[in-house]
Amino acid sequence: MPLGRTAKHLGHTMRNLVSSLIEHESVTTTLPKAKMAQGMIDNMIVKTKKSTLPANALKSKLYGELYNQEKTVPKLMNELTERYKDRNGGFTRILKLEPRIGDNAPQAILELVDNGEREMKFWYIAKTVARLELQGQPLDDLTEKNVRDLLLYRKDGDEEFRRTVELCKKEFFDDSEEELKNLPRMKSNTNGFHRTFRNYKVVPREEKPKE
Amino acid sequence: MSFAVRSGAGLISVGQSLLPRLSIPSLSIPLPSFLQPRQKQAEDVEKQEKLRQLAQELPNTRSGIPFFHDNGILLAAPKKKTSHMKRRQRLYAPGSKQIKLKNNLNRCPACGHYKRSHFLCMHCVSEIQQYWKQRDVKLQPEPFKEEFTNPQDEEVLYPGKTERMYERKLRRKEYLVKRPKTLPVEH
Ligand SMILES: [Zn+2]
Repeated sequence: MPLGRTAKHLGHTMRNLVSSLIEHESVTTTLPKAKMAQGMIDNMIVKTKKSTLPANALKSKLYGELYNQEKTVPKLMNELTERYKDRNGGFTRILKLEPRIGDNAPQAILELVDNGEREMKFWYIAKTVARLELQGQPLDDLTEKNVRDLLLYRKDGDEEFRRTVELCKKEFFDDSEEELKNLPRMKSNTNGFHRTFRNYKVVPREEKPKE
Repeated sequence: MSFAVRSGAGLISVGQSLLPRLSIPSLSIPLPSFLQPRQKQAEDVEKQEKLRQLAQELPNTRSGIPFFHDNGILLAAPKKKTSHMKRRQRLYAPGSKQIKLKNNLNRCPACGHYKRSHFLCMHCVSEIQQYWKQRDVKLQPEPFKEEFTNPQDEEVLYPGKTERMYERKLRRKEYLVKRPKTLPVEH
C-alpha cells in the first residue's frame, strides 16, 4: 500500500494536498507525499493548459478532481494557466527540510513556482543577497546563477526581487551586527559550499523551425 | 480463537483433540414414570431441575476469566532473566543503532550557520515563515468588536478573567520543543 493507505484513502489524500497547494501556493508535508503530489499537480496544470474542451466541460471535469472547488477551479483555469503559459513543465518545486520534531519524518515544502505570496526559494535567495549586500561582498557565482534562474520566466521579477531584498535587510538583519560578522569563504567562490561550482552559462535551447 | 475464550459453552465446539475436554454430567434416560416408585419420581424431577439450572449457568461460570488462565496449558516464556551484559550487547553494540556522524554539512548562505547540504536552513525558513504570518495577519479584515455606549454594560456582559499560571503557559506554548539553532561556521 503506497503511503500505508488504501487506494481510496490515498486518492483523497492527494486530492486534498493538490487542492491546498492550488489554494495556498505552498504546502509543507512529508517528502514522499510531496513527491507524489508534485506529479499530480504538474499533470493537472499541463492538461488544463492543453485542454480543447469548452470551458464548461473543463470546469465540470476539474470539479471532479479537486476539493474546495469554488476557489481552486477558477484559480487553476485562469490564474495558473496565465502564469505558466511560457513554461512547458516544472510548475512546482520541492525544497527539503529537516526531519519533523516528534516522529523524525523527513519533511519538504512543495510550492508553485513564481507565486507572489509564499515562495520560500525566492525569499531564501533574497535573504542571501541581502546579507551579502549588507556585508559589502560581491555576489558569488552560485548566488548569481540562482537569481538568474529564479527570475527567468517571472513577470516583473527584477522589481519584486529588489523589493524583497530591501524588506529582508529591514526585517531579518536590523540590529544584528553580530550575525553579519560571519563572512563567506570566498576562496572557493561558491559562498562557502564545499563542492567547487563550475562557472557556466545557461544557453537557451535552439528553437525548432516551424513547419 | 477469541470466541473460545469468551464462554465455556463455545469451548466445546472447538476441536476436541486440542483442548481439554470438559466433563459434562451425562444424563441417563429415566425409566417411564409408571414403573418407578413415587418417591423416586419426585427425586428425579428435582434432579432434572437442578441439572437444567447447572446447564444454564455453565456459560456464565468461567466468564471474565481468560481461557488460558489456570487450565494446565503453559505458554512460552523466557527461562532466565536477560543479563546486563547480554542486554547491552544486543541494544548498544550494533553500529547501525548508534548515532552516525553527519558529514554533509554546509554553510547557510543566508545566516552563516551550519546546515545540511541539499536541505534548507530551518532557522532561516522559520524566520521567513514568521514574517509571512504577521504580514498576512495585517491583510486580514479586522475582527468584529462590539461597541457599548455605556461601559458598565460591557463590564456586566463580559467580566474580566484572570489568567492563571497554567493558562499563560499554554498560551505561550512553552511546552513545545524548539529546534535549536546550529553553530556558526568557523573559519
Ligand atoms: Zn540559515
